Amino acid sequence: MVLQTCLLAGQENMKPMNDPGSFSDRLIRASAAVNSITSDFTQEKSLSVLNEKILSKGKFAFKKENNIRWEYTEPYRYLIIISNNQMFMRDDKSRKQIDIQSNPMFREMNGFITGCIQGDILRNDNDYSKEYFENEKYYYVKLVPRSDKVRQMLKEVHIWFNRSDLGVEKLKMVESGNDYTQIMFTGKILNPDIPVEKFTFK
Amino acid sequence: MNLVPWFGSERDHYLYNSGIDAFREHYSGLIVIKPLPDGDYRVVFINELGIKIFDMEFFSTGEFLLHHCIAFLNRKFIINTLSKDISLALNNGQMKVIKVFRGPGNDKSGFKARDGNGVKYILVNDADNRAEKIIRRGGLAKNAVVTFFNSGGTEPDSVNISHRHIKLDIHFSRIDEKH
Repeated sequence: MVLQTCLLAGQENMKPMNDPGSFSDRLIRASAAVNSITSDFTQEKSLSVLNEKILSKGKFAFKKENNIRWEYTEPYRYLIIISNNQMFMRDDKSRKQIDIQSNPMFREMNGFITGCIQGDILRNDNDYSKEYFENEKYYYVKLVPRSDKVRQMLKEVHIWFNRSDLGVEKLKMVESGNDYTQIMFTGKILNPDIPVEKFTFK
Repeated sequence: MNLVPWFGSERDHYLYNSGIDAFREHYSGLIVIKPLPDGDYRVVFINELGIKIFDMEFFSTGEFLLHHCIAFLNRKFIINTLSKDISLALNNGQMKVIKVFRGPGNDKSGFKARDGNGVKYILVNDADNRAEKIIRRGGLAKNAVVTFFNSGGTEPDSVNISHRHIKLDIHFSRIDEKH
């Protein structure tokens, strides 16, 4: 569960993006063609107070519109489903359902996560300022929330897009004190047939 | 009294799956308890999506420092109550024992000690000198019960902090980390 090395190789040789406008247009077209995604994910949590990073793994699924499933398998089993403005969480001992609209923290987080996965967040100029970079492997966008309240929760957001299919490969959420959460998506499959039951609460 | 702390410095940190029901809002995720030198502790709570909810430091002098708390939860009454509850579970710092008594059965010791303006009762298992239950009395919000559940290890399998008069419950369940 402990990751000894820092997974920041994707930031090597980054330079300002030549044509962010063209990239955004392509991303919108690519996102429109994706109706569902499945992938594995590795989540790395870095806290300044700890010498080691906390690592968790699991399976991710997304289906339009706004259906997200995070199934953590290591170090403990935990399921999060976000669908129809409801968030469902289940572990071995308990289950909870939350109305996202009535919980300001989850409302922000849901909008942000969904926006990152679908690429919509790059069209949101009201809530985020953006900087665009690229290298041979990735398009890389750094977002800074404009709202002081959101910035207390998320100082910066970094998204790495695969150059070939413009899918999100890595997501890094930087918090106060430079603590961060980095999620890496691997084994991604675009447009698989995902049964709707994967996003129902039971 | 030789009370053995549950969260001793022999471990770099302790990781718990956690749920906090605070005043009709539910927060869940991971609690990291990091022992620091001199009996101090750092306690960080992060939600399921990895976002830091709060980051608190507890000193053996009884003082407390809030390093971070999300705006949605950052209200004086909530922070005061949460910090006092977690401090009670950590039970760090010098204990000013007022009275020693025998607990229920023949295998438990009991201690009554000062806790700020109130008092706390600590029920200790004689077999390992670790607290089984800590009860604080000292006002509606301060009244709290911490229960440690353990099946023989050196850290609690779970910890429950409950209140009788206010809607605040905290629960930790141990996570086995794979190193």
